[in-house]
Amino acid sequence: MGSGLAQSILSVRDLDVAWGGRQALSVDGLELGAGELLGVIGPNGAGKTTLLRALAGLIRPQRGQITLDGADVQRLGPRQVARLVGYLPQVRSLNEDLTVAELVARGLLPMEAMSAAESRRAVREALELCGIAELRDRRLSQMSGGEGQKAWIAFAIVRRPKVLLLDEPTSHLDYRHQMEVLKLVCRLCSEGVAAVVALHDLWLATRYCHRLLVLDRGRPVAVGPAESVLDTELLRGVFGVEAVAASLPSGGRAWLPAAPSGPTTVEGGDGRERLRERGARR
Amino acid sequence: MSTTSALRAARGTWPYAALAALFAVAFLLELCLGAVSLSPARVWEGITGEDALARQLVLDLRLPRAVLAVLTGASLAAAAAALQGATGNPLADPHLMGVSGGALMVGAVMAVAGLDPPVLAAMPLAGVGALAGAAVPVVLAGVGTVSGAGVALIGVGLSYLWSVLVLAVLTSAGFLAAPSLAFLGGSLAGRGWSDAWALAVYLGLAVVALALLVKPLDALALGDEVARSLGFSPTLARAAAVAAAALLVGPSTWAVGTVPLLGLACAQAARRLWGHGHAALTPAAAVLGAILMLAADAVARSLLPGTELPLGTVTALVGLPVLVSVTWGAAWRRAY
Repeated sequence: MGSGLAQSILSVRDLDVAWGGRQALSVDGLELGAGELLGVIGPNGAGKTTLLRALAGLIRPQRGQITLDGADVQRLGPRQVARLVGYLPQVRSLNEDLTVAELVARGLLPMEAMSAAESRRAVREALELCGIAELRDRRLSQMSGGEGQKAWIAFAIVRRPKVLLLDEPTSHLDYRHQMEVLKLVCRLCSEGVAAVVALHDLWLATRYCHRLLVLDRGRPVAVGPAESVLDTELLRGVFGVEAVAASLPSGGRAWLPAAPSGPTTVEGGDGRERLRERGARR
Repeated sequence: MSTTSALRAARGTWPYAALAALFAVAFLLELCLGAVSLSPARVWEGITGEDALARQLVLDLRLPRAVLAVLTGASLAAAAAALQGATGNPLADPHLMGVSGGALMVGAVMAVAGLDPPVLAAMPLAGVGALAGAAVPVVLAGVGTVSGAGVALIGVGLSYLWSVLVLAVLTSAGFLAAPSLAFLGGSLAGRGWSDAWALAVYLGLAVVALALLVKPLDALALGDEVARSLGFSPTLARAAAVAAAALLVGPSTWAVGTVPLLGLACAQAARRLWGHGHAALTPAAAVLGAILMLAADAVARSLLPGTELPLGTVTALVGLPVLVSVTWGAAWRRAY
């Protein structure tokens, strides 16, 4: 499963992770190069979050090794791992109504002593990189989901980690913000960050990720560029959907559920007609 | 851009200047006001020794009281800031959560049992009581099955339970004299330099702990999972913050009794003015706590001639509007 890129930033060997008393994830090998964007796809419960948490050093694997920038994660202290990895869980809570700049500055907490000037500069650069410099004094409670997501990404990258781990960063966002968030991740990758992003949307995964890792019931079933990984058989086997490939004017392909045109009318239990999306679970 | 940075710089300076001025005024008021009110000039004559009566009033009675007010006010407000950080609950407060109640119980039991240990030993014992008082609300907050408002409400119930138990202990031993009653609403009456020194020792220890907790508590505010990903243990941070709070609440409750809403009011006011970062928040809350306690004692001693009102009459009157404003603005506490 080589990345094809010269410099490996993240590598996984013979990884076994248990979670909630059962074997949740088993990955024989994975390499990620600097600047690479790896999309992790798979149905709910496939182990995407478990993989990201293990890579972030938050779950101790039962077996195997994760190497970050040449160092064994299990031999590093939690702060050392935090300096190398920026991780954003899908569900977050904020106990205090922080401004964007305050939130982003807290991304520097794992760093050793930094002068006030250094931390201000790091925050300013992170905000500029994420295109939200003008939002620095806005409170997170007053921001839309898409703007808030960019603020959290700025928080994750302010300490310049080598690896960025994002768990479903596009969920609950409108299409424009989904694309903006992934464009931002691409931009960060072009600056040398290696990113692992769990996604549900196959079109976004195809469009933005260099490679896809398909997980099913805790095991990788395919890894590689989207065009060689996604096919009718895999989508049926892993996701349980009958899908067809639509050719895009740009030359690529998009996978869509194979449904007859238009929504299907379904008789509701109470006798009233309801409209339901045709197709299988996502 | 330059205007906003200039505004921000000004905003950074004026609260500190205002805080220093307020502190000076409150401290002077505490020395001037009382059964016999002194002018600032006579207070000065008392300090220099030119006026014998003023000297006795100021140096022997009011100065130790003022110092004690500063130390207890600072302790309770810093403890509230630490408890709010540890529980992620803006309503956390030593009195409201029953932390002070646990400490007061230790004092009541010792008084009834006729134990009178040296103050330096008694204060940490009260700290153990505070820790017991903190256990239930903090564990509930950590389990996460009760909402923040729910935890605060349970804390109020526990606080009520403690005060009734303390009353029961005192009543059963025929201890319901005025001094014990005054202690339930907070009082600095009859306290002197020995209490102040002992309190200074424990406040000093707590300051070290709070300084070490600045980063962990800042991380904890982002939620447990994110705090862990920044390399901080939420469990350790929470336990250490609660221990530091008990180290502050136990000794100060021993010295002053229970003072309602002072911690909540000062910690929340400090959040509004200095933001949520604990490096600025905790010291600012502590200074506000000192100011409020000084003002409360000055008013409580001088409002009704010949009577000392409980400190709580003032702190609760200040604290209640703050409590309302905190819960009023609670809409921001939606999850991100």
